[in-house]
Amino acid sequence: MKSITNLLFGTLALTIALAASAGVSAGARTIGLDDLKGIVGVSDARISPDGKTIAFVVSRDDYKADRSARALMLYDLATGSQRSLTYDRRGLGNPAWSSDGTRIAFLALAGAGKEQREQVFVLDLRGGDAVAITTAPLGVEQFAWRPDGSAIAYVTPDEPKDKKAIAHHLDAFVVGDQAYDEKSAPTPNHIWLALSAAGATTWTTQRLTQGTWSLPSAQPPGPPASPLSWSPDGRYVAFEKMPDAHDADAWMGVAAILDTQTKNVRALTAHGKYESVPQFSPDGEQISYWYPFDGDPAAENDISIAPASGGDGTDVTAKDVDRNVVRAVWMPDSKSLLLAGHNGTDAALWLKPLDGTAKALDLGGVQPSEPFWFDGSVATTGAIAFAGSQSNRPSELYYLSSPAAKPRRLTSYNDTVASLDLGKVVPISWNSEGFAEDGTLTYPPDYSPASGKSYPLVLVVHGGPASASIRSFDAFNQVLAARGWIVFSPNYRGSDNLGEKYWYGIVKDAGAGPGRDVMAGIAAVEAQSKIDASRIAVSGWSYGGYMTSWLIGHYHIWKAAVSGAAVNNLVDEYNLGDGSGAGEGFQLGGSPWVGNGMQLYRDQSPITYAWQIDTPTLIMSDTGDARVPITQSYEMYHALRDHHVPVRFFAYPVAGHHPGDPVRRLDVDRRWVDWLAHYLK
Amino acid sequence: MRSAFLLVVALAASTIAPAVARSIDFSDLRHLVSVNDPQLSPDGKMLVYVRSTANYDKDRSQADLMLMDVRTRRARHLTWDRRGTSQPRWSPQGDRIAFTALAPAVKGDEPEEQLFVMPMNGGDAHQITSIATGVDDFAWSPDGTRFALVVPNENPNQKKIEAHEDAFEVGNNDYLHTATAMPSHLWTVSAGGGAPHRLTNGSWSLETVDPGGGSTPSWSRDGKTIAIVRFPTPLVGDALGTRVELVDAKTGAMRQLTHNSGLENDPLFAPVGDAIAYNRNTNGDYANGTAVYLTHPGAAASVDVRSSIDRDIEAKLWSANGKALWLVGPNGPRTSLWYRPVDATARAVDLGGLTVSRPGNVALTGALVFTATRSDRPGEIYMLASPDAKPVELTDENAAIAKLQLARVTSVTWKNDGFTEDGVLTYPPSFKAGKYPLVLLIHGGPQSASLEGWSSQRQLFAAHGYLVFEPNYRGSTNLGDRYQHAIARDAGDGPGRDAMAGVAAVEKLGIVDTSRIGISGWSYGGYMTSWLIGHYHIWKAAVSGAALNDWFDDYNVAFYVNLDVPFFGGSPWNPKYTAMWREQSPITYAPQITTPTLIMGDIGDNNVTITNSFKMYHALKDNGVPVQFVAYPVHGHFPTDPVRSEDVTRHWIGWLDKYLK
Repeated sequence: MKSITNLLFGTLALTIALAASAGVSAGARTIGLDDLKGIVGVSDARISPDGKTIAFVVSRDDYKADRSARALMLYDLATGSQRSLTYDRRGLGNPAWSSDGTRIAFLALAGAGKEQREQVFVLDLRGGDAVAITTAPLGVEQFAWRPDGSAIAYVTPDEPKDKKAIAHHLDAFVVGDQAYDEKSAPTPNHIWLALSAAGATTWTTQRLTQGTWSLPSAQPPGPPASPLSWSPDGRYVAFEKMPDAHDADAWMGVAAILDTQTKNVRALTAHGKYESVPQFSPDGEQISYWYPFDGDPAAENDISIAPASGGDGTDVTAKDVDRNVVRAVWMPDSKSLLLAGHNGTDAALWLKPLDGTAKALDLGGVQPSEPFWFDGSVATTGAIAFAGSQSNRPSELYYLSSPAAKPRRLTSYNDTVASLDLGKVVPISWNSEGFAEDGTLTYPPDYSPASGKSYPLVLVVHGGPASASIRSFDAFNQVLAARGWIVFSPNYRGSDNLGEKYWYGIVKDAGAGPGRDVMAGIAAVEAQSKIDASRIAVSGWSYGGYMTSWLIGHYHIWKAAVSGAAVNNLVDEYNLGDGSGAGEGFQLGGSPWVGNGMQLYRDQSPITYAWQIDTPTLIMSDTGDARVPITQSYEMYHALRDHHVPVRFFAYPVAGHHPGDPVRRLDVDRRWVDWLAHYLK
Repeated sequence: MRSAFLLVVALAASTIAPAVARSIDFSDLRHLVSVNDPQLSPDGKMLVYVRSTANYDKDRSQADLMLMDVRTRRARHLTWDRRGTSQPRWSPQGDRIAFTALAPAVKGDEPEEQLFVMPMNGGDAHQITSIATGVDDFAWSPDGTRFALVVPNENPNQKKIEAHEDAFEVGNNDYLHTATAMPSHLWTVSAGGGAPHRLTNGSWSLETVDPGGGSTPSWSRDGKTIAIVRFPTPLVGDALGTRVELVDAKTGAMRQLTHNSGLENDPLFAPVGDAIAYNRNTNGDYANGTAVYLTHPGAAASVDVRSSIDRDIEAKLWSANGKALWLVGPNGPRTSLWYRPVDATARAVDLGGLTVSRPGNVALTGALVFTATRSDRPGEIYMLASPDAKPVELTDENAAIAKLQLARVTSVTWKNDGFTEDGVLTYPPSFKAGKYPLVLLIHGGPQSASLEGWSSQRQLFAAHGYLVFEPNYRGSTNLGDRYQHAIARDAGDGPGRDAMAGVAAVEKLGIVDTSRIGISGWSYGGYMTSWLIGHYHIWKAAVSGAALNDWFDDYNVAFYVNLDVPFFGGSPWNPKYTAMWREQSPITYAPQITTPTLIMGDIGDNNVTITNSFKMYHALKDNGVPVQFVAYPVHGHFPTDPVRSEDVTRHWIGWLDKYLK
């Protein structure tokens, strides 16, 4: 199952997770906030079935229009040439090859104005306009080609049953496990089929499933939470089935199989919950699916394999890949899986033979982009394409001719940034309470331990908490380091990069243990680097904001703090967030409203210790944040103000867990840097 | 300020009554006519008022100005096809009527309220203002040549905001804000139109429309001074520091009227002389009721003209000769109208069973008009020729309602904790001896009171066969400062005991089926509901609407902020007070609730935020208590449109019927 924790505390890839470099010239200048404007995003790497071409998406920020311009690109491996397949398409993403390699389907916005919705487009590589093959009134969330190429299964939300009444303002709705700012009850997502007769260019659509149950929703152009998977014979579709339309109830989801002929739906296993992402093996014999270690919803995600005919099957990653697996891709032989997950301060890929031991791929320092998902694909030849970055180069397209090969960088979109005088990124490790822990350090480009100079230290703590700070390109850490500060991004118990015991260490111990981990990390940094102990700042977004609020409430070494979209009050998180309800309680000890739950929640909430804070703090949040409701920032603001602690609170009048548009995103970064600069002088 | 909590389910009456009286139903309420803001012409011969009806197809209310010849009682429409028509005001000469109504946007798409002047010798109304942010309030100058206007400032960062540089700094605003709140300021404009002239500016503000409602400037008789209320900021959360300021109508120079530190409101110059009356909580204690003070510019002190009354004053007007004040406030089971000569004690006017809603104005003849209801009659307009006259009914818009078989409304009194308390008990229309299910309907506020005047909701519930009990409780405004103040630092326990003592008093009547008691309320009535189901276990069903369940939310994310502090003594983030805020929050006792509960709220409620309801919902669900939570995707503390407001009542009574029938 996709860990609820991931969903809830969703890490902010504040690292505008983008891209890579060439070699630093002697007189190169350092990076500044304005350089972030030129960073190009490379994503959605999809290698053709024959392994000869790679489709991928390139996005560039347009600060004037305040949006990201996205293009679908095609890279020809034989010639090394690439070309753009699309022109000025909004909301573009999720390209998918037809199995014969003649067509690419993708999602993009269709329609005008407020009626714009994501629809499935099919582009024929033999020429011709891309054709929108769906007209789903509420848009398409995800889709998958039927192996024969004559049909596409897609997922779209049902229209509300009482549409007419709603239009007449009878729009009151019954609330379930959903965010406090939603303006309607969610409607179930269901599977439809778009069909085209052989050779025809017209498509017809029909509904395949219905009921009050639902598939999880997706936010295209991002990857779906649980992608559809066809059996190779084109008869069955595997998917995640939730009991109702509330995504906060996704923990009750099960791997289900739809028979597209009879429209019958059956559960794959007898677990009844905690499952996600069922995927047919290429030979159709088996299905891989997500299920937490030991059936404990607070545990790491593992991959299980079950016979396609049904049964619980077995956990194949528990033994030799003790990491939180964020994706499993079947290799063409149906005998092994390509696994992805964090491992130490790296994003790792493993090749896992079903009858053997997993082996990590040697990626030579390249970090596949994998915030909760591996953004890559495998050809029938076994070749692998993925989007990734390096510590000194934003995202580019990478290629491995086989799992045994070294990755080859195919693109150079981010040469400009890569040629700047960037800070060195190194891993650091320390021991704390029986854990061997780690994090990353980014040094100022001109860092010189021999000079006798000491440097201010800035902590940038990752969100999640089920995520990790790794050595991928981190534009923001680089900008901070360029200001002359050493930047420390610690991992802490609850991070997903060191195995189950570490991961589980945060259960019922949301703040105290992780806080001690970070403090032990600082001691390790101080032991090896020239730190000015009078100038230490701490900052983070989301769960990184939680950690910031916690640390300033418990330790008093800080000169300044930036607490963004912070989880300050776990009671609010349980009741108001988009993960509200029972699923939120797995790692916290149940419901705050039952037994001694309230005490547990209070003890673990940073707001409880707010009156002990004396650090000047910048608070930021979106007014429409359903993930971490802004109420928690208001609470911290009032608590600090009432104790006369210097505090400023800037709110962004937009929806989302972090502003998604270039202008506001940069504004967040700028306020963050300026606050630190003011106090670290 | 907290009267923002007050819920008035302003619904109610119909046109054609059948031969055999039947009981009231939703369809009757759809035909209710609402009459508001009556204004006599200076000579007392003509009456203008606002008449509103609900249009359920378009889901809005249509408000029109009506003009009545007081002698013949004949009325005709003054306005045609205008939206948002309100606040008709005669010119001092009686030759024009100014009013506000929606006009096409000056900038952007949203229509704004602008000021209009209609000549009363015929002809179109002239639009006097075209101000981008609209006109919040206005007042004629005494000579009829100018208006004082209250106008919100434009956001100076509009261009940046359009470029998405729209991050704003949070202060004591509610969590639904999406931009910096702009202050409102005082302007003047010629009565003939033209460019308005700004008189004041700064980060302070006159009262803003959301959520306060605005306050009307008052001109001195010589036209040289305008009295206003100065808020420290545009935010209600900062409003403990409000004070009356006198603004020079030419230069904009300002001086404070008194030496008080805050809590001043509603200044009103006398029509003769330079006396000025203003409101302030008794002794400057925010937990007390509103007193009325009298002073003169430059005077050292103010006199409380209300002291002998000891009731919360909701409205005041000067008599025509400036020698007395009319005061209105709840008093036991009704609202009283007092006549208070400046140099003599107040006396209550005999209104013969009327409950005053709001006073309108006083003509030069001394006649006073006001809106009022009876227990069996929705709002109409009444006139009082003098303090010694009997009220005369001017309108008869809701006669049809009176022909229905209505429920009998009575008062109940009881004693508890040293208070003699009261409430309203309503019998099913077909009441005969026997036992009936009982429904509690608890008022909001808490600075409000359940009175005997018309209530559509109570009539509707009684028509479903319920005894309806509306207890007042400490904190209510109808029994004096001691009673009203007693809720400070005792938000739930004491008021809860009051309500339970009231239930015991009703049960003593021997007509209650004690196995079928339901409890319900909105706003602070929702607080009381949540509190009582968490502390007592006699309930068969509960409806908790827009309930204040967690005081922390009231302080941190609703618009109250600092306004809550006087009720607890300090911030919830001060460890000295944290426990008190928590102990007095119903949510703290939620795990003890066993009553099937319907929760309702508006998503966009900045008064009692829906966060309160989400907490209660999860608490009940996690403890296996039957609960349904119905949310309205609209702004405000209660849906104000006809369709949704009826829908709230339907859900409410549907839930009671499900468990009590």
